[in-house]
Amino acid sequence: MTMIGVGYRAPLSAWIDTRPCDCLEITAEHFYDSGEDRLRELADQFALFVHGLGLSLGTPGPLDTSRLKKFARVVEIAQPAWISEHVSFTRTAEVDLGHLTPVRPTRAAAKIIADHGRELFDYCGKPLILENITSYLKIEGELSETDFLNEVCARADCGLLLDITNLFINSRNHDFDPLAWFRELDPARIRQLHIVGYGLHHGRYVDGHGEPVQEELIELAQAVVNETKVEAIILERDADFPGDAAMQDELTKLKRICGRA
Amino acid sequence: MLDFPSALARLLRDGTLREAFALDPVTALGNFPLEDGDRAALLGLAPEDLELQAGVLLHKRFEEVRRILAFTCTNLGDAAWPLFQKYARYYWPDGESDAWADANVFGERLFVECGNAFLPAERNRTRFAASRRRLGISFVWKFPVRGRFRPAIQIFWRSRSRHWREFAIYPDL
Repeated sequence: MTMIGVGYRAPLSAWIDTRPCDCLEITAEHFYDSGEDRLRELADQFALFVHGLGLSLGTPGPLDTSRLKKFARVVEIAQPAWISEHVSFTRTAEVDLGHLTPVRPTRAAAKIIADHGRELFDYCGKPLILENITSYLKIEGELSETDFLNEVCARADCGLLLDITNLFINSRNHDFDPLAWFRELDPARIRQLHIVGYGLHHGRYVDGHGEPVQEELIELAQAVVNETKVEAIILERDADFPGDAAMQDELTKLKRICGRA
Repeated sequence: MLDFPSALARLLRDGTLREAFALDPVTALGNFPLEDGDRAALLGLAPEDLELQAGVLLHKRFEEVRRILAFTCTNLGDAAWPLFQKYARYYWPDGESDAWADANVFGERLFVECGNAFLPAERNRTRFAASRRRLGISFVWKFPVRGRFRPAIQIFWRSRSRHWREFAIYPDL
């Protein structure tokens, strides 16, 4: 059975305590400096997944040891079925951009991310899955984006967290067929989906994480679920949180995708 | 050699460099010691896409700063974002991301350009946060408490672990 859950955010805390879903995705950075007791409570009640934003797997050179230790501490408490990070960089030796930024799709970059992924797996002792990001930049490299993701996953021997919304947004902003793009991926790697509504700003599609899931996204997610063995779908709402009933409706949409509603 | 992420990050953080890149990409990247493939990939970027991607980063910084300077940004209304863009486009703090340092530098520029908009209680807080002082004490006429303003003495205290806390005392004036 595919689990349905939400990304844990403090404003959703009271609703989450009513146990509306099967699982939760914890953002590791939210628990780096505080909140261990709350994390233990959540681990007692839900299946958890730990999601990282700032390990910057795409930055050449060693991983940041301090962040790695903090991430591993969250994993130790949460005891997730798997952990996840992004196919991107957020930081260089000179600057912390604080945002997921695309790498150039080359074999060398795939090796850097895969090596860091293996190091993360070894350090935390939990399976790793990696997520596709959204970007306005179209960066040329040796590989297509899908070949690049396949290469990273094969080298790291890890799974893929397919963000349906990121895929949809990129397909609209860069004018390609999202279904054809998805079918170029190794389907056996896809373990988890992210989904949340997209926004529109000055004619461009944006991932504001503050909109209800639109029908086009449901259709795309349905196609992915039909052709893969997705184990969990996480609603990734970060802003403009609606009331409890509306959040429940969002989860019902996702359950329907899996034939559970 | 400069790796691709470092070169892209330089373009994304520096509005002046992006403007030069839009005018003449080859010259703008001329001093970057890049591998041929990385250079070609950067030269292939559309300047308008770079601006959009940089805008996402600026907006993320602004959201952090707006949380810290909540009342000041409310005072500024619709002008807050353009003022922040004007500042942040040409200034990016080095090293680790630090929203308090960013808010402090932005706030001080605001103070020069439109001092009345910068709530003194928030200015005291950002200046202390960005400093290394162990103790700070200030009096303000307008301290936001539960939807209204009261006179207050702000006391800031920093522990040896560099975490800091703020206390407020409300004198009966």
